[in-house]
Amino acid sequence: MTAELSMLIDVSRCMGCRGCQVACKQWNQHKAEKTRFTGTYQNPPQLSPETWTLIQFIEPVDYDDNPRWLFRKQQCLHCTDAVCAQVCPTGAINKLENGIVYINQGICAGCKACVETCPFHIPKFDHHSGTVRKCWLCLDRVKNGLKPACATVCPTGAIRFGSRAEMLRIARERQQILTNQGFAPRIYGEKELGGQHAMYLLPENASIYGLPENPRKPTEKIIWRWLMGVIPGLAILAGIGSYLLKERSKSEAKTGGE
Amino acid sequence: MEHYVWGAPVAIDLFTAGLGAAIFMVAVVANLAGGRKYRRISTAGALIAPWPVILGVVLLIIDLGRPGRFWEMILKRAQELNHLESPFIMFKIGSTMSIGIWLVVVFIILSFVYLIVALLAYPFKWAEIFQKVVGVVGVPFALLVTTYTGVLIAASNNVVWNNWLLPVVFVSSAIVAGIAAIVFILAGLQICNPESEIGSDVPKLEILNSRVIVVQLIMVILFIVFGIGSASMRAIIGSAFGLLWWVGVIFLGLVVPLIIGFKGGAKSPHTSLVVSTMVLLGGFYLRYIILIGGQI
Repeated sequence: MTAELSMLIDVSRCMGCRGCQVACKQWNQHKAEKTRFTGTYQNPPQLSPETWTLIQFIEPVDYDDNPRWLFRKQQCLHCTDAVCAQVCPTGAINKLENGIVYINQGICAGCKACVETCPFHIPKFDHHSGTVRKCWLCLDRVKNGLKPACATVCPTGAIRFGSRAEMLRIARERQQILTNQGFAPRIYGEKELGGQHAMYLLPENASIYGLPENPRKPTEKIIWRWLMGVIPGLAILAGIGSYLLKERSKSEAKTGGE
Repeated sequence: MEHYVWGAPVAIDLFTAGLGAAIFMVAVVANLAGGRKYRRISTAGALIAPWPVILGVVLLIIDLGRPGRFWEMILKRAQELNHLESPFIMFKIGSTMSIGIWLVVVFIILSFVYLIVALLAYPFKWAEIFQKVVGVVGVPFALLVTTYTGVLIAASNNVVWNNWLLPVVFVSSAIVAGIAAIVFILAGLQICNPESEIGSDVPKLEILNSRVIVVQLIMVILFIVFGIGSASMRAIIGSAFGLLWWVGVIFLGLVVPLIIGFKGGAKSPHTSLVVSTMVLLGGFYLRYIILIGGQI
């Protein structure tokens, strides 16, 4: 059994240089994207088949009208309870023993079921390859004992990579330091969706950073979704049957009476 | 041009798969309730039920990014065979799409068997019992196929689709469309053969459909009420889509047939043909608007 690996993204240390974005593009040989200025340094505007990681620029305005500038590295969080892998009808998406959730490009048929179920909207459909693509935590590098490309370039140490236990230890240390500084930090991904293999250390609320406070699998209550179709369906069919039976006995009574 | 993750082919697939399965269910219920008395309804239904579902499968395959890899959803690759559960067959209980594919495969086979026994039962009395048996076996699969079209998009990260009423909206809409499809066929045959009595059950079906439409309308209204919190839902009912929604889906597709049904059915088969066409279009628009509108 391989040890569980994880990335730790210390949001409090990120300064938005986007070196990780470039490193990801270089290592995975992704094309540049043509974009337009939209009033923010966030560029490209969203994740795509060619952009597997992206620094999100968030500008909330405080109670005293002071704008703040926050950065979060967006990428696949490699959930333990990975709903994308569960809904994949071909078995192309697999959760590996080291925790990496990996889309086998040779099997993916491009049905897009994962795109529609990921609670973080991470997998993106690629019109050129006809498959769905997303961050694979540089599985090729990791298998050879290297760190993912983005983790090697981060100049502030905001991106760390190693065994999950070690990352959790570092996260707790940082959490303590930030708490002493007056923040209310949260280790996002420690328990969420069975525990993620890319965790965030968030200095404040997850929702400010565009993350769901309490991420849930959309398929969680799926049995109720089925029952909400089957039970009313049976009731309607029973109604149709009773109407047709009544009509039949009505017409039989009529022909009998004549 | 905006690319939707799931676009028009999926909208048509959600409509036709539900439609074919609903036609099957209506045909079977008519056969069980009335035997030879309703044989026009049950035979017409048996004849048309498989085709929309097959069209749906074809569109589902076309919509794949790699249509040639469709078999990956059916068969397992050799290196995956160490999993002892379901050797060779690709089936994942956690994947709605995987469940749906197998439901559709079983339904298509059963609906063809039903088609054959229904044709045999028309002249031969001995085949009637087989028709009833195959029908009873097929109804659960048909109902699950109909529900699947709703569950597939209801269990998603999309705020408009992830509505607990979506499956019942799709199921009731499919049954309404299924009855309308049978009306369409019978009224069409009546127009082609004015001397025959083939369309004699049409008013009865229209009255029946108006009752189902009452359920459908309540479900659609509740669906909007429970989903109105999301901006996308407000955009659906308040934009250009909204016009199609209120006129195409609600007024022409549901309110007009409702009124006609409560007045005792259309007076001429031509009217029945037009109204049932509007119901079918309304059923398609319902899915198209929810599917595309939810992604805007």
